[in-house]
Amino acid sequence: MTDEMSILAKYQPWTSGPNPEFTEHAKRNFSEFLKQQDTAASLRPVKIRARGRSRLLVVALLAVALLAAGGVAIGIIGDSVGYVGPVTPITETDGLSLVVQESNIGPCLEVRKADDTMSGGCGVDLSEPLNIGVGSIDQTAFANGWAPPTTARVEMTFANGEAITVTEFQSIDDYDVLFFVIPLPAPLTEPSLPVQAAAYDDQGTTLASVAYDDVRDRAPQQDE
Amino acid sequence: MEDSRSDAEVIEASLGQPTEFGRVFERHWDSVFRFVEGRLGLNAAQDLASEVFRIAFQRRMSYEIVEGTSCLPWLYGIATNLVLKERRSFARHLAAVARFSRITPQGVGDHAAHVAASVDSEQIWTQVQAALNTIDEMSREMLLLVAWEGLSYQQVADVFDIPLGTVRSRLYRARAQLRTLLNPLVELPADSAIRERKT
Repeated sequence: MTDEMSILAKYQPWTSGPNPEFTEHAKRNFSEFLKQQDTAASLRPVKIRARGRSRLLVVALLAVALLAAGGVAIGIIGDSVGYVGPVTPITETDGLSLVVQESNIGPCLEVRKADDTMSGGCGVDLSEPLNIGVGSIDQTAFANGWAPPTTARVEMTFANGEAITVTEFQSIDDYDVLFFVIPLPAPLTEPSLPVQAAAYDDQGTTLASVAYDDVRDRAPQQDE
Repeated sequence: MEDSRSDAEVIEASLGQPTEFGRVFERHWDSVFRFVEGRLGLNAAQDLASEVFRIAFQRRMSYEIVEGTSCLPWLYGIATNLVLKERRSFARHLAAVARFSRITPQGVGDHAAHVAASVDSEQIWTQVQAALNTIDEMSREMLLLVAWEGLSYQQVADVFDIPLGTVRSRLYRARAQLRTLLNPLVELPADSAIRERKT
């Protein structure tokens, strides 16, 4: 190591490390989290890698399973999250349907296939100008989300350098945004994160941009 | 009973059995916690260290399994992304370390020398943290991963998922910048101020 690196190495801030009580607490919480993942996996009717809020997703998946089994509309499910309105189809491409459905905690934006397999999340905040979700169903990876109403294109760049441009959008009544869903090419069968995205109008002006480090973290990063 | 499986084997097993990932937590919790604490302080570490493992669990399918290697650099990469999101806190933490940290020099025999060395060290640390704050955040994280966590350039490349050549060129520039800014310190006695370092 040369001098400047030696100096840097010597001036590492002292750390106390986690105390045993906190470590036990954290370990217990993480163990509980893993057990929930285990239970969630066993509930899933098909292999689904999902975007969105994982807790809510599991509830939504359960809803689909129950609907398929009983054919009965479900109001409140599990920990008080459930659909409260009809399904509104938005668009369909390559066997993937993008739908929106109201729930008691806000809109559910979901990508579905004909066999009722789905990926999505409820309680999405449509006041965000731009939002991107990525996921896969049966080895078909996709990106979906919404953009400002004057958007001409959305450009997404994934961690592996793949760039995707979306130019087809759909608007529906009651929502002041443009929705989209697009299958991702073969190299992105497993969506690569982080993803960065920007929406542009037809003049090339940037309308909104986001960068997600993790699909569970869907809040736009704030520039400083 | 001691689990002799490698990190790669544990992560692979967790694909079918999520609770297996708890072993990764047990092995690397302390290191990850100290990593975050060193960047952002104790309170932030208590908030964020667990989040590193949750994110790692969600991403385990994309973990590049290399037999015989530790997954700690991978965890550092996730932690680094979280730290970068808190970059204002990082600057504040560095400043706080400069103001409040107590320094424990090694090889200082008497109280007067101890005090003198401590004062020197605090002054030096102030310059070091000021120099760090002039370097772009990604290069700074690369420097700290090498200097503080002992990662190789290749491991840094893995952390950021960028080519090794990019790491080399960024670190070359960052080190040159640091060398210039720390130039007056280079002449100091090598062990005049060594911080106690817990590993």
